[in-house]
Amino acid sequence: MGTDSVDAPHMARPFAAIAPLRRSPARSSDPDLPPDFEAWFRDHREAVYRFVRFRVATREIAEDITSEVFLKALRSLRSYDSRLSAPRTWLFRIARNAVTDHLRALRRHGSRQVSIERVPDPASQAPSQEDRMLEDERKRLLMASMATLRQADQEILSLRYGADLGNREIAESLGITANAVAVRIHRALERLRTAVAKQSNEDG
Amino acid sequence: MKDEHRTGIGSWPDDLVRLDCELRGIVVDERDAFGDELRARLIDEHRRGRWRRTGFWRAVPRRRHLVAAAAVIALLTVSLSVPPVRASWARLLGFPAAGPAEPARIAPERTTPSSSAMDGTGQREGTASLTIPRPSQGVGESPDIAQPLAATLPSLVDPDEAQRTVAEQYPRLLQRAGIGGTVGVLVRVGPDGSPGSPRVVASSGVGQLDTAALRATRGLRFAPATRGGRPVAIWVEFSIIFRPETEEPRPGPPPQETPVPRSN
Repeated sequence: MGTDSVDAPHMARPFAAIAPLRRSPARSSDPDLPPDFEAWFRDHREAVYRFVRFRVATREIAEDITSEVFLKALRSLRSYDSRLSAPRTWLFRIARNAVTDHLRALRRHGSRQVSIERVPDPASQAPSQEDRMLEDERKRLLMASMATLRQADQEILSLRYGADLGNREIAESLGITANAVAVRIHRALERLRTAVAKQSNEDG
Repeated sequence: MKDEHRTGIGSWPDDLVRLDCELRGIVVDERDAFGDELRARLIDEHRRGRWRRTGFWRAVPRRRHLVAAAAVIALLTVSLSVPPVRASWARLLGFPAAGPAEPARIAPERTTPSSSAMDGTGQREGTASLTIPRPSQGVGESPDIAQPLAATLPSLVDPDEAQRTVAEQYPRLLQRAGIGGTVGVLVRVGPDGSPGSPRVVASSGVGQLDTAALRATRGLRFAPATRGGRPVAIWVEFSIIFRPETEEPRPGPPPQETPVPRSN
């Protein structure tokens, strides 16, 4: 899989998650939600979903947890203080806690959150059926290997590659410096590389 | 992708750069209808206003037993601040300070008519005496004296002077006529120790004696009752005994028709 074939569809996506707050005002015909919340929902929903989807096994669970994140944010909207954190940081904090609670519940019930079945929804831009199968297999290997990493590595990789956040945004979410984020991502990728090699050997 | 994303990536080895590109190539798309479904759910939640019920009020249904216990404790606390309720609790629990069970604390023994007075022995004639002032129940400010926490009850400042005060009010005419009797008196002893609003609760049968008892009561001086070190008003009940001069001391129990002093 070449770099260009991967980057092209990815780069073409509009990443609303990194759009500044209130860049576009709430539609006047949409008074059903608080205006601020409406904008947050529109700008950050996809990023939150992708972050969650990188951490959990199935699309259904990802949808449930994403719903829970925004419902919780709506219920505690009055307690949000814009002086303390940006809306995106606040939402991702809720999302991280929701994912952590989910994984903890799985462990409590004896389930492993790591699952070989956890395959992201494949992109459909592969040029041929054969290439697409190879690409899907590679993604399956990557996700299976990522699932064997420790939680901190999975989290920071999900924020980077799932939610598509930059170093500074990840740093705000995790409460660390941007340099520390870069170092952690580099180390997480090194561990992922080792895990991929190990997984490849196991798969034969 | 933001440039910041790639900060420092130039120093990475090729395999890490390739891994970075592969991971960024993983596209996770939402289900088409998910955004609209979630938004509809959020609107429904917002309209129903459940999001306003946060914090404590959201926890109430789950902690109703704790809320009930807190309500009972609050009710008990408030009720104990109401004197009649507190007095009822004291009586229910048999608290000794609530009843007239220990009148001996209130007045010295010599101010009380001894049992020998009842059988007519050892008593001076032509005198009057006081029984032990004891807390009154159910009258006026009586709940105060039923306080379980009451530290002291009122007492006579000078028992001898009190005896003289009562004797002075004994009408001479009745003394010489050999008419005596016992008058039960209820009086409010104020925080300053002054008696007020005296009333006859047990008549002697002789109006003049009752009137004399009321006059004598107004002349008594008390040390006020205290609670928590602070003087408080209290109602007390006691007997004033008028003994005629003509009565002869004699052993044995007095006959019914003889007007001998009796304590309540």
